Amino acid sequence: MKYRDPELRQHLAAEFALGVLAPRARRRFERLMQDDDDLRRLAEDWELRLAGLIEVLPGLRPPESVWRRIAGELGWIEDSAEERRPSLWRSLALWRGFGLASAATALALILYVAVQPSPSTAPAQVAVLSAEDAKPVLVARVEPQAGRIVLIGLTEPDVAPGYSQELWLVPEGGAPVSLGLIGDWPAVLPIKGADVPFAGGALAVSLEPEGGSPTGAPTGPVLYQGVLVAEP
Amino acid sequence: MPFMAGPGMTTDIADERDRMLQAAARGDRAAFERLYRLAAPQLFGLACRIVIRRDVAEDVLQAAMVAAWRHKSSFDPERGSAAAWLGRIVRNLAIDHLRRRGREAPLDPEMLEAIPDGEPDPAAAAEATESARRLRRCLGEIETAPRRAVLLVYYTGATFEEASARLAAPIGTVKSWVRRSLMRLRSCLER
Repeated sequence: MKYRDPELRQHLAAEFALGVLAPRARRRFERLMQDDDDLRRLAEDWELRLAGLIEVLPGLRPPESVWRRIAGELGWIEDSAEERRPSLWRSLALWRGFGLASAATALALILYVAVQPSPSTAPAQVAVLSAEDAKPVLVARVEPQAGRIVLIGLTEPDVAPGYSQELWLVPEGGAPVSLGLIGDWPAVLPIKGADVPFAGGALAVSLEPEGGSPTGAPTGPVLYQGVLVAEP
Repeated sequence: MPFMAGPGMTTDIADERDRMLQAAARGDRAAFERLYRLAAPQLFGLACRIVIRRDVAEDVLQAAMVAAWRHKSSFDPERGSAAAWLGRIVRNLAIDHLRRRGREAPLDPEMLEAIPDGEPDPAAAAEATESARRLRRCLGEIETAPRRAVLLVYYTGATFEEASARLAAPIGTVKSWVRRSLMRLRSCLER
């Protein structure tokens, strides 16, 4: 496999850290890093090496409202409604950039793929959805041919009374699309619509008012999320 | 050696950022706010250079600090300074935004002019950590054109295509400048 070549690995890690990879190459590299701790380490080393460049940058003072929004989002102060902003894309972007997929996640993925033979020849997509602390919570297998999404829990479901959990597809570069509510798991959700763009996207579960988001877009915090990977 | 920092530079602020982040990792919110006050101007400056739009840069800074708090225990002072750790988060988020949405605004010529190339900003250099100064010193050993290519890409999130247009050099040349510069940087930093 060509990604074993040490020189190529250095180049790719450096160019990833520099941010210069084209979007598709960047995504591919992020996927590679998920299963390759050494590669992730190389990229992080480069990021830290180059970050010294930031320290000599002339500063630009951000408006005071930014700190209020940070403290609000962390729940340290009541944030006013007009200062609240949707954060789904941000947290997803972050999780990808961080390469937080743990060894447990990778293992769960491998096990799951190994024990679930594909019912058809259509490329199924698999995602391990992890919580904020990188703990894997759900494994989702999207089966376009069968028109369904199978969800298997790795922990017990935990939904506060008066709330629902809603599953979203976050297509690459697009707005989140609701895939339905999740009550309990294991669960099977039908895929509504024939041409939902799963490939290259991610799945996320948000906490919503009972019955689901009233707006059709996520309104609550993201509980778990994971990048979709085509089943080999 | 244009990047060499002068003697007697203080690293008090750098040290304080590291201490504040370590205190924050133990759950100290006041230390985290102090860290924000110390680091925000540089981080915001960086985000603005990449995403150009101020409102987006504010979003990026907000998301980065929230992420920093949530992943605070993963900060390892052995592997780099607090400034580097935060900067890495900001840059990743800003670049990710850029790659997803495309450039919503053209590169700002004024920002491009302000890319540090020769002399580092004296105030900023005074706050820079030892490793940052070493990096500048190693950059100083690289020829002007390749160095400019690396800095342009780093500070603006430019792709090879954009850098090629900006520097009026063929894309293959820009790529090899960047690759060569990065590998030279690595060997210089490891000396």
